[in-house]
Amino acid sequence: MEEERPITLNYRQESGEFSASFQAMAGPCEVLVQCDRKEEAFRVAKVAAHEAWRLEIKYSRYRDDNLIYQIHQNRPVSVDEETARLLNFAAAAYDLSAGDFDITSGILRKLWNFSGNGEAPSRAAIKALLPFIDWKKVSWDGKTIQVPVGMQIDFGGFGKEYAVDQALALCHEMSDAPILVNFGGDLAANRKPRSRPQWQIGIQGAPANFALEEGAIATSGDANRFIMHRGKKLSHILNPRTGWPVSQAPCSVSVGMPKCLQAGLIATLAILQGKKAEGFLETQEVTHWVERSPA
Amino acid sequence: MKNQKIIASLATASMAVFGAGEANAQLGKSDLLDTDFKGSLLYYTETDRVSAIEAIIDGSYFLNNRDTIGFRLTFDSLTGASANGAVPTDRAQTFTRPSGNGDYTTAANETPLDDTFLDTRYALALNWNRKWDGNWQSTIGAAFSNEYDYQSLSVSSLVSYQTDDRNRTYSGGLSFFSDTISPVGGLPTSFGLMGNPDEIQQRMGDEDEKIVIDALFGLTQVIDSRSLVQFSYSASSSDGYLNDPYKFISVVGADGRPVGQDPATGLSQVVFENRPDSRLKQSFFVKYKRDLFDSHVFDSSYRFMTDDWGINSHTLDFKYKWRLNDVSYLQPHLRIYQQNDADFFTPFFTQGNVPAAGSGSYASPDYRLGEMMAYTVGLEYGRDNVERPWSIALEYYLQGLGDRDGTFGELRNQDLSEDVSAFMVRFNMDF
Repeated sequence: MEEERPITLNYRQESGEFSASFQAMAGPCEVLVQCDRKEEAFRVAKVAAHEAWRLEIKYSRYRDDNLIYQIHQNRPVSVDEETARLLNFAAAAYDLSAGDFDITSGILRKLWNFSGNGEAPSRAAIKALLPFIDWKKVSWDGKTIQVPVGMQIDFGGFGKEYAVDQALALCHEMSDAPILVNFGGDLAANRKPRSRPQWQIGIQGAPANFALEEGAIATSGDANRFIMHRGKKLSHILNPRTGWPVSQAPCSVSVGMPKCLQAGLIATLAILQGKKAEGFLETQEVTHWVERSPA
Repeated sequence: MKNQKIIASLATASMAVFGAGEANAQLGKSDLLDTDFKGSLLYYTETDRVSAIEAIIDGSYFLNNRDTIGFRLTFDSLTGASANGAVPTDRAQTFTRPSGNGDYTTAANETPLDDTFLDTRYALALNWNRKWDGNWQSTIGAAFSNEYDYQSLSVSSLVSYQTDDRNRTYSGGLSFFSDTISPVGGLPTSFGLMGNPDEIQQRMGDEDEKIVIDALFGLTQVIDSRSLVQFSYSASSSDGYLNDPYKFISVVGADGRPVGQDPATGLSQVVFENRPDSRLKQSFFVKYKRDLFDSHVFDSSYRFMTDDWGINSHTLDFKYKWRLNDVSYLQPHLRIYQQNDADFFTPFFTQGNVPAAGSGSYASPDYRLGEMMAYTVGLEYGRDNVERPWSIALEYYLQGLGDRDGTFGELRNQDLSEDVSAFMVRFNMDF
């Protein structure tokens, strides 16, 4: 049994909502519930927190007691239904992006340190890892997965977004109140708030608050995570085919779509387009914001 | 990857992810259709006077998203002594007990207290709250309470409306009380002389009634994200028996001492009080509440009350919720209350000026109708973690009564307005 982590609940008088905060998936999480009873708000928040913690444990790459660990033992592993759905989604994302989005690319993170003062790894080190990155080399038949030796899979590319959608769905099942789930900047709302026409969301790179009635917003990229290389700031989004950060990539891209999972994938794919990110987003006809660092 | 439109395919792929959904085994929807219970326990003790224990249980049943049924069960137990209205003097005084059977004696230079003050009260209140479409809410309720000499039945209603931006709430309410008073020993005749113990007392019946109608109008306005202000006006109209049947007035002789009535028993001459049979109270209330430093709360209020008995009162109340950490706080409390004498407040009669028994004039020695200044200082410590909040509060109350006018002789040597102090401990818990 995992240690119970705290959930802090506050009431915001001016908006008539409860705000619950807790830590999950290496960051601050918040659930806003617009109801009159704190007990209801707390139970809703608890459902969201438990879902976040459940997914964090289930799909963490840093544990030795979960499914991901078993898969990384390179033997065939028959997976549960939820994992199967996520692997199918990963396969679809790989196909849709013609290999730009690849859940086997996580091993590159061993080399790159994006804390702002790290250095770029050597070309040789990167080149040595590239043979271990390609979803096509993974055997996946819809029920059983086998990862070749030296390779890994990582749901980090959409895990948090999936958790937001899942948590919101569970919360919505429990309460008719307007609810907004925000896991470290990836967020989704079930309906418009009762106190005002929209939820006001602050977005990196957006000139004003974004007004969200319902649906989701996900952000890829982080202006605070980069690496300096030969006087240039490199994005922390890596191109799985080169092993290098995407060149001329925006600092961050935010996308609004019905599901957080969708928004997150489109935002990541946009960054992978580098300087063509804006064009890609225009083509998708989705609400979006792009932040680029001044040249 | 080419710049192609992938949204439709992505939508299809992502929808497949949200299949049946993972069952969240520990927490079910039924958890929300629940009940809330709160309990409160109060111990109150006045120095040398009344002690009280009060236990309250509040329950709420949330039937659905709109309807809540609530109940409150109250149990009170009072013991100790209470001022009977007579003045102290430099010799012992004897008074017949309210029942007419037996007597009690107050020592020289002591405020006369009726030490048979003992009562147990049970009360049950039920209410139904409903949230309607368009920001309306209504509550209707009924309550019943019973003690040895007092029964009360009431119905109440409250309607509130909140504007769309939730910044303003209007509320209006109406309550109706029907009370029955059946004092121990019957209803004393107004200005009737207290009879000797174990003799027939002057009475004007066994019980009487009182009808109270309360009306309230309130307005709550959010000023900004950190503060709100609340105004309310209330009127309360009482009709019927408004006397305190256990309060009587000393008849004082030329030397400023209560006139002895019967040398054989030592009984002092006292006559029972009489108040008007109607009272209209009006209250104006304003509250200002503000969040400070993200987590502290300052709460201040002022109430002005005026009635047609000539009493005006002012109440100032301040609380400061000092947050120690996420789940605990300290809350100091200060309350200041001031009122003036009612028109007919009469701490004593001089011999020869006592209205005839049964007369329609008014007089009462009840200190609660006289000039007073009262202070409450308190400190509350609370844990407001969500699952099981509790708090404990300790309060000290000091009541100073105004100097009594027109004293002479021995009355001047006596403290006619003895201070009363009290301690209160209250424990609240959700369970």
